[in-house]
Order: sequence, then structure tokens, then C-alpha cells
Amino acid sequence: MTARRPGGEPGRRGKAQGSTGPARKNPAPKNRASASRARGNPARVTRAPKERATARRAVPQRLARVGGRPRPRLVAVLVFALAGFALLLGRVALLQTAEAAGFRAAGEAQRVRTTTLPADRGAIFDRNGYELAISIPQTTIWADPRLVLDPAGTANALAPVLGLDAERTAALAERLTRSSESDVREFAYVARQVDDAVAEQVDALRLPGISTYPELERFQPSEDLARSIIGSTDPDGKGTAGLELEFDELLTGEPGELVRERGEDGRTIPAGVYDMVPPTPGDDLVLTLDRNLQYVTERLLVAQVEAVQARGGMVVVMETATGDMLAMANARRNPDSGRVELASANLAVVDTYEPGSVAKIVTAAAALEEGVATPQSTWVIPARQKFSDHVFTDAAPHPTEPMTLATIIAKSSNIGTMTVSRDLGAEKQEQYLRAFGFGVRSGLGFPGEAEGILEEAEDWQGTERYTVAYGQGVAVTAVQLASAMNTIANGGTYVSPRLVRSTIGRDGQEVPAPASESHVVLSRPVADEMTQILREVVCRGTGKRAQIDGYTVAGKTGTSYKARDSGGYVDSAGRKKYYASFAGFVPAESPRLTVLVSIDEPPGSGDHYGGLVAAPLFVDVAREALRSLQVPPTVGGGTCDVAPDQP
Amino acid sequence: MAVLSLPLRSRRILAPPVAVSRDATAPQLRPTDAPAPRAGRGSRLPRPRLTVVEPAPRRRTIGMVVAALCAVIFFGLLGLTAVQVTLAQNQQQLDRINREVQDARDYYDRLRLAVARLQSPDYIVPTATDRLGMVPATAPVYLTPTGDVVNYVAAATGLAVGDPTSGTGAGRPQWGQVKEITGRAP
Repeated sequence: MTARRPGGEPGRRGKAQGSTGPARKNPAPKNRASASRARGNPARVTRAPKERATARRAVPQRLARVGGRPRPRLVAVLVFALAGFALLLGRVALLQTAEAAGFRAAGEAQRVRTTTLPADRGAIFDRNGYELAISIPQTTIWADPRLVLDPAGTANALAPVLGLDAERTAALAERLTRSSESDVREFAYVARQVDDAVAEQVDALRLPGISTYPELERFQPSEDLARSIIGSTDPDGKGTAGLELEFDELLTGEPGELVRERGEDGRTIPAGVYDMVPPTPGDDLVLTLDRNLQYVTERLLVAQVEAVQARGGMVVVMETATGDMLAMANARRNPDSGRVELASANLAVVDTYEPGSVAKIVTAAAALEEGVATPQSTWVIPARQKFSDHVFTDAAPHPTEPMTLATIIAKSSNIGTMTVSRDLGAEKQEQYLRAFGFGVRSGLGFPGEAEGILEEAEDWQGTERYTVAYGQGVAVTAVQLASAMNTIANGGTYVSPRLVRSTIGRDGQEVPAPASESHVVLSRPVADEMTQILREVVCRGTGKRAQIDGYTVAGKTGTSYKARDSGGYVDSAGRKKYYASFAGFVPAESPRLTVLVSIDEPPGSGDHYGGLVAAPLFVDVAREALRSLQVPPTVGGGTCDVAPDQP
Repeated sequence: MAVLSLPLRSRRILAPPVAVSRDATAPQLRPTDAPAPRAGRGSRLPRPRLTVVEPAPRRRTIGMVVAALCAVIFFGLLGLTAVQVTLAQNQQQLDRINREVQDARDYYDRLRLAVARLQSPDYIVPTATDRLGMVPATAPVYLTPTGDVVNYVAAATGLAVGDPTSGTGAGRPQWGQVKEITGRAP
């Protein structure tokens, strides 16, 4: 009540303050007494309680006089506080409503990471389940040039780990360097698909801007084995050649995706966003190839090409009944090193050549099937004879003599074969050539597969009308030629060759590939007659070096001129180049294997005949194949009564 | 000592202690700040008949409810925290297991490659010929089993003699079993 009284008690105030000056200059009343005591004024100490109470009541009064009325100020503060609070509330409401989506998205962009999960590329197996090509996770090292502080130093630090020479180190440093401030490159490869040891060393360097991520790399565990067939992939795992290209869609799986909310330390935020679509692995391919036989065949081919000093060679091994390719080897002499190497291209499928005398089997079989001749039908065959406008000569000189059809084939008489073809007729000749698979793709579907060259019969001109009868003027692939021989081995039914035996789906279930297409070309009796004729070739004809102990072999030799790129067969020096071939099957009485051997450009010094350079390789390959397939020897020996080295 | 006194007009009658009848029809008496009738100004309001009642029971129910609510909230929050901690621990464990699964798959793939390389002829043949001194058989001798032997072997193994499927590599069937459960999911 006293405090509300206007004015005050100046005397008492002056007494209380004494010589210390006006009260407003000393607004701390509760300290005033102690301050007076400190100044040594005992009167202040002995002040009565009533005075002290009066002094206390005077303080608010003074404050009111100094600061004015508090109520408006309090109201103002309240208004300001409420206004601020309202602003805050409005801002919060805005954040929670209109701007919520944007901030939520920005937040999620910081926390939510989408990772592509690479799908396993399907493996490639041989017929027995051995891996020929598989994909293995490796580590790829990459850089963010914006974060690389010292490009040259970083490149120098990485060089010894990655095995880079000075030139490649400089190139790496250039990749890591930003060309300008406006260079916004965020990614540069440092090294792709390195093994774990290298990746760990790079991680240990802790270089700014250098990171790693897993990436699948394609491996062929058996190195060069069947490389020309399997093909290759690029670093991104896409097929670029061979079966990898042909079945790229099948082998390639579907990548998955992982969307997850993660913290700063990379850990998944519990109960956060987590959505995973697992990758779907690609299907596996199970080939018809036998890995071990493929290996042996390749080694034998390289050795034989090297031994006869040829330019190259091809070997095809087929399973007679199914057309399954058990082995397919291609070798070529490296013009730089002079060494014979396995070819990177599948020459047996993509390269064509004139088959030569091996094609005589078509002429003979057609004559038998059409009733033009029997195995014992006889023609008088001279050593030289004119057909069309050209005089032809048999490779082996002989007098004019009667020859049966079997003898014509066994001795590989060109003139005899042309004589039979003349009786057969051009249309029938062409019809049977096509039925045996000449001039059409084999059905393998291999990338770059050639269909060969076979003109319509009506387009055959001049000597071509006759030369096709013994395999000149027509071009085939090695697979086509092997398939033609296989037709006879298979009892007269042509079976398309195939390389894929089955596929293994993403569920692990193996799905057999469709059986090869087939069509009947010859009747069984004619096929049997042809088999007997071809046995004569091996036992008494040009293919005696194709005999295999314990097994009966039927086959046909072939030595063809090799066409030059400029046309014709003879170079400016009068020299010719050859293809030496042998195609046969074994055991003749119940064929399991059909094998074709073609040697490219054997030296033309007399050892260029198929019976000399190709037949021995046929024996080596067939023997290994028989052992691999566990084909027992022919009961009773099955050998010829004429030794291979006897005339 | 000064004695402060209030003017008579500002005096207020202090109401007696709260005496609320339990009788619902009884008028409710409450302490009031209303000024008492001025003394000497005329009629005085009749005072209601006052009775002594027992003190009103303290309303403990509300307190208990509040306490229970607090307890529920406290333990609820505690439970939520525990659930969150468990969730985080399980998530970490899941992440760890996923990493282990991925590492195991990678390890499996690497072993698969290593086995394939060791089984490849490129490795076996040089090892056999160079290190072990083995040579290819040049003159194999074939034995022709009698019919009894053939039948015995066929009955024992279920395979016909000369069956090309016998003795072949067995990698593919195992792969068919594991492919179903392999993948590259983390």
C-alpha cells in the first residue's frame, strides 16, 4: 500500500543514501547496505528494521518512475512473443504441409540409395558339366576427378599397385585431372575388374576421390580351349563373338535393384525404406562339346599343321546319330611369329573352301539313290578326258581301264566321277548337293556362319557343270562337309549339326535343346552301299592311312585347289595351293563318330594329298574320341586286310 | 510499531470454512469474496442453517489416473525405445548377415573358378607329363568282357558297358542344385 503512494519519503531516502548521491544512480537497493558497510558508515548498519522495510517498499516505486508503467511493456512483450510464436507456428505448418513434399524428397535423396544389382551372366558348360566360361565378381576402381586433390600424385601412387608403366601412368593422371573449373566429370575409370589383392592394396592407399565397386568379369578357366567357339564378351559383359554373342540374350540375366534408406555410416536405417528386386541370373548353356576331346583335338591339330608346315587347319568331330559337335578346332599360322596358334575365329563355320574329292560321295550316293548306277556298275575311264572345253586328268596316272563305281570313289578318279555325274544329270547333282547340306547354312546359327557357294544347276557354265561332281566350283564350310559325310554314316538321314545340348534355367532346371532337324537323303540300303564303298577307300584306296587298329573306318580323302582371291587357282609362278581333307566315320558298321580334317595349304611338294596329311590326323583324333566316348573296338578286329602303308 | 488497519468498508466477511451439505437439495455454500452487508444498514440476510459435515473426501482418483497415465506413457516410451533398439540391432545383424552371404557367394564363385582351372586339361596335362612323368598311351589294349561280366557290371552299376555317360564330369548336376539359391542379391 505504501508503495502505491505517489512521491516518497525524501528525508528517509536522503538519510538512507547519505552522501552516496541520488538513489537513481544506485539502483541496487539490496546491495546498498553492504556497500555502505564497506565504506565504513556504521549508521547504515544500525538502521532500524522499519526503515529497511520502508526502503524495500520504495524500490518498485523508483523502478516505476525510472521505466514507466510495466503493464504496456508486458503487453508489448506478450504481443511480440505471440507474434513470434505465431510466425513459428505458421512456418511449422508450412513445412508440414505445402513444403513437406519437397523437403521429404530432399531428405530421402540424402538417405535413400538405389543400387543396381548386377545379374550373373549364365555359365557355359561342356557336355559333362565342366565350366568353359563363368562370370566371377571382381573389383573395378574408379575416380571422382572433382575429389582428386593431386592427380599426378594419385596416379603415381596407383601405378605400382596396378602395374602401370610411365605412359599409362601419365594417361591416368590426365584422366584424373579436371580440365577446368567447369569440368563436371564425376566418374573416370582407373582400372576395371582387378582381383581382390589389388583392390585391397588400392583401398589401403586411402586416396581421396578413389573408390571401388564390384563388377563381374568373364573367365574361361581352360584359357584358349574352344575360344573360337565360345567367343568373348566386352568388359561390360556383353557378348561380342561366338556363342557369347549368339546366345547373348539368353545368357544375360535381368539386373535387380535395391532401394534402401541408409545412415551416414552406410548402415541401413531400421524400418526405413527398403525395397529389393533381386536380380535374375541368365540361363546357362550346356554345349555338346567334350572339353577333354576338344583339348586333345586342338593340340593334335596344331602339332599336325606344324609338322606338315601348313598354313592352318580345321577339325570337326560329330556324334553321328545326333549331329552333336564333340570338338571343333581351328588353327592358323601366325604370319608374324611363324608359329601355329589356335585361331580366334571359328573357321570351320565361317570360312569356306572347295571340298575337292570328299564331295564325290554326293555324286556316287546320288547315282546309287537315283538308280543310275550300282556299286558294281562299270565305266571305262581314261587317264585324260575332255569335258566341255577342258581336258581333265586324274591325279594318279592310270591306263584307260574299266572302273566300277566303288573303284572310282576308292581311287578318287575325277574323270570317273564326272562320267557318273554326266549320267546323273546336272539338276539331280545340284539337288543332292543341297540335300547333303551344301549351299545352305547348317543350322548352328553361329555368328558369321557361311552358307557356302552353290550355284543353281542352270547357272553352271562350262567345266563347272562337271567339276562340282568332284568338289571344285562349289564351296562349303568344314561343318557342312562333315555333315555331308555324317549323312551316310547316319544311314542316309541328314542331321543338322548342333552345339547346344541344353540350357539351365534360373531355377536350376535343365531344359534339353530341341533335337537337330533332319531329313532323309538316302535310303538305308544306299547308305550301306556307300559305307562299303567308303570302307574300300580306307582299306584299298586313297585313305589307307586312316585305318585305326581294332576299328573299321569308312571315309574319303580330298585334295582340292584353293581358289585365289584374284580368281583362278594358279599364281603368276604357276603354283597352286591346296586344301587336304579326310572325312570319315567310325566304327563303320555302327558309326558313333564322324570326323573331318582339313589342312590348309600343305606344302605342294607331293605331300599335299588328303590321304597323306589329313588322314593321319583323323586317326589320332578319332582314336582319342573313341576312347573318350568309351566306344569298344569292333568285334573281330574290324581292320582291313591291307596295311596302311601297302599300295 | 505501526498497526495497519483497513477501513471498515473494505472489510470483507470471511466465510466460514467450507461446509457443503451432502444433501443435494441443500444450498451450496462457498467462501465468497462478496462484500458483506454493511453493518447497520438494514436487514441482514437470513443465514442458512449450517450443519457440520464431514470433510469432502480428497479426489484421489484423478491423481491415480494421472499417475497411471504417466506410468503408461513412460513405460510405453521405454518400450518403444527398447523396440527401436532391438530393431536397430536386428537391422545391423541383417546387414552383417547379408554381407556374409555376399562374401560367401563371392568366395564360392572364386573357388568355382579355381576348381575349374585345376580341372582344366591345360593344368592337368602339363602336371601329368612334366611333373609326374606320365605319357599318353600309344597302344591301348582292349579287353572284351564276357556276357556274364557285362551283365554283372550292368546290374551293379546300372550302366551299360560303353555308356558314354559313365565316368563323366559331375559338375553340372550340382550346379543345377545350387543355382536356384544363388544370385547376386545382397
